[in-house]
Amino acid sequence: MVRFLRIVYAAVAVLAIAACGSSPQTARPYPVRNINVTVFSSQGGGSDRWARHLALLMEKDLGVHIICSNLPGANGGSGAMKVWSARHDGYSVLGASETAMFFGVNAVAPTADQWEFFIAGGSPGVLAVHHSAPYSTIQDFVGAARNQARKIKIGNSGQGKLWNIKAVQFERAAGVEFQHVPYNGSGPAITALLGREVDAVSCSAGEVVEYVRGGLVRPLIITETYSMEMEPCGTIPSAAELYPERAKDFRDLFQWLGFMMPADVPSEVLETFGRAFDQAVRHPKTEELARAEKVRLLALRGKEAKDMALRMQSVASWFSKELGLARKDPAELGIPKPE
Amino acid sequence: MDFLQTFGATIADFSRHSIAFVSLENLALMLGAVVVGIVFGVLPGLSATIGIALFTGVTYGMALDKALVVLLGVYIGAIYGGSISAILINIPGTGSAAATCLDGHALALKGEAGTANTLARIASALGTLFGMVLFLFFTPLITRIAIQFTSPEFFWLAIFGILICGSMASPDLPIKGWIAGLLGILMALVGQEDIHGWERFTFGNPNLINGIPFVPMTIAFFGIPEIVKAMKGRGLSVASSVGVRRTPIAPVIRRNLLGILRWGSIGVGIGAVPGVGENIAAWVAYGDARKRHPRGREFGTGVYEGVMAPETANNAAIGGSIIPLVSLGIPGSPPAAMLLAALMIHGIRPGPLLSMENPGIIPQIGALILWGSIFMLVCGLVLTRAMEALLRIPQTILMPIIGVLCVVGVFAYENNPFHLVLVFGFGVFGYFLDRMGYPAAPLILGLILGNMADAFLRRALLLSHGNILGLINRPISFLFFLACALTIANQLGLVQRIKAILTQSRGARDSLNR
Repeated sequence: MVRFLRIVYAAVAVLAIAACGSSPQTARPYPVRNINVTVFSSQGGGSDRWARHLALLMEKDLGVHIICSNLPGANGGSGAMKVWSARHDGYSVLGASETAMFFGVNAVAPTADQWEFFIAGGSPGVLAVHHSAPYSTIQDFVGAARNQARKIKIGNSGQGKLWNIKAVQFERAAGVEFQHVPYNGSGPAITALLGREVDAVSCSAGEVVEYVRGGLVRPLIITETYSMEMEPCGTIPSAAELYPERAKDFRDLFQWLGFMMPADVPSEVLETFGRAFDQAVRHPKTEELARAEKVRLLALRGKEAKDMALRMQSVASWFSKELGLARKDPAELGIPKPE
Repeated sequence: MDFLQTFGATIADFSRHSIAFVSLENLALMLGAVVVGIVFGVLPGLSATIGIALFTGVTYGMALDKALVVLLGVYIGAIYGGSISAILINIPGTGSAAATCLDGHALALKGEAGTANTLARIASALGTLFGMVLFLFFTPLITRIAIQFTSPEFFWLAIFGILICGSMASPDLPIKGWIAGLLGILMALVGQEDIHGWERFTFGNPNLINGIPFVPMTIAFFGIPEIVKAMKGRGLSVASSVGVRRTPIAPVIRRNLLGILRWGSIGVGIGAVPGVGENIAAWVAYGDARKRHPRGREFGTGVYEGVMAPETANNAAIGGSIIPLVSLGIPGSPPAAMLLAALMIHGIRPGPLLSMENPGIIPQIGALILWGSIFMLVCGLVLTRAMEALLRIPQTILMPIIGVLCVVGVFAYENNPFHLVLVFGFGVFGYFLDRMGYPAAPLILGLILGNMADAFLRRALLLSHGNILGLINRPISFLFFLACALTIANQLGLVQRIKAILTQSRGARDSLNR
């Protein structure tokens, strides 16, 4: 008996050594172990909710667990650098948003050309006013901005952030001037609108949709290239319809939520992850979430996503420089000026 | 009549939900959540916000009503739990318990740790229940007032909080408290500011872009000095005389019933103001208690009301902070902001329609708060007994263990090694400040509120086109301005001097008339 056991032990030992020695190429294909998603902002924000939602759906497809954790800080740079400094093997993924387009000028993480993007979609920008405001259409609003002695006050989620830039793009297209009032996030900006501290707010449709449904806030225009239905106000026109000559401005910069991986992750890994990503974005549950949060689904990856990210990075970076916020000059980083 | 009807309906719904709550699963979940919450509250470095954040992830797969049980249990437990470490080791487990340190620890040194803990527990439960009652019946009214807070009001409220805390927390001169508060504000200015997005005092270090995080700072300024002091001592245990004196609790509670209503109202009111939270609430209530107490001068040496006031207010702020959350989707405090995030993860989108589309949600949350405070009373009793026993361990053994727990807590939150550098760097600074008698509490409050004060001041000036009158030309902002001015005048002795002049002149007039 003892002898038999000894033989079994020996066999196990030999097998174990053989298993260790075998090269990773002959191992099972990606993924063999759990994938870690690091979300670069705090719990409960858009990037976090979407990363967790997609991860749960992708788990089933990939057959491993996808563990989401949050590492906010340095405008997303802390999370990005954690993923960047881990092995570029597809087991460390960044849960990200369009804030990543500022990595270069903020000097916190590598620029867009060094990443791969998996873009699920995003909520369109909107300019909204208090329900008791005297403007019922965007034409009234622009007219008032032109005639009023005091500038119309527009709240946004932070200087140089996406919704601030959207409001600046709109005022340039309309040829008027607003007073931009930055808050610490869209939530406080909307609160200020409800308390009538500001006349309007620039934020995402998803952030304001409940107040629109509740009749407290009226959306006037979607600061994108497409219009959107918002109950109970009907179809809200798009800024590109109103100012077709400036449509490109509104096209190249928008909110997105999704994942990022270093560009030098093996291509077959990117492909496997990407296929699961595609399925998760097309899942009925995702469509349901998108409807509730007023998100337009895109499901972009590969070259398409990269081209879009590069265009967006160039708009975002040069805007940042113009507002005096860039820590690093986009020209130095090799980011071309937007056409 | 209409009002009475809604009143009755709310009571009926509330009792239905309270009874429907009773199931083995719910009770077990609530028990676990409250215990975890208390532990999070007790451990310096872990707070209600962090607890709710962590459990948001854990409860991701649960049904919403079960998730709410867990999250509210953690919230209630953590806000109360902070008082235990404040009383026993003079390190507030959460920022909201900083005011409890003053008299709570003084009582512990007098051998009345047991009494202080019991008072804190009962005050916390009563505060929570008071918050619940206002939440159940006055949500629409309080929301309407809270939404009136605009930039000038936020600015004055932040300043008022720091002023009150500064003048209360200092062992000798109030001016030292204010200096500490200013240091805190100065530290809050590090990082990207809110108005123009420019960086200040970051010295090019990307770790400082988002400012100096306050969790490591609470450890640096509350924890490290206490630990070093303990190591310098002769290795005695803090409260070798725990439970030596047992004061009857009931008369203390009875004579403070009116006070509890007042401190609870302060808690609910400040809790309901968007984004401000229980830290200021505790200090304002402490200030109120000290002002009205016949032996106000003795505060800080172990007065019962000095424990009850902040603990009532910070727990009442729970109900308060949920008020605007449920009615408008606007969180009243940082933990409530985490709660909002959790609701959104569960597919609930709080907003003006939430309570209309889910009419049960207010009584349901009310019922959870009721059960949470019952469990808090029971679990608190068991846990504090255990922890009071811990204090018999000599300090030279106990405090290093606490030190390690503190540091692990800081690191576990964001896994950022830079935070450890901050803890040790500022810990040394904190130790010397403490030796020179500069209190830590106003510094931490300044750090939490400094950014708010700065950003809201400049936003208010932006909105009033630089007109300084814009800061005081609304009723609420003017009241807060007056309160700040009076606090300063009072501390500088101006009020007494004016009073003296008035009585003198009256005396002179009287003698002339005669």
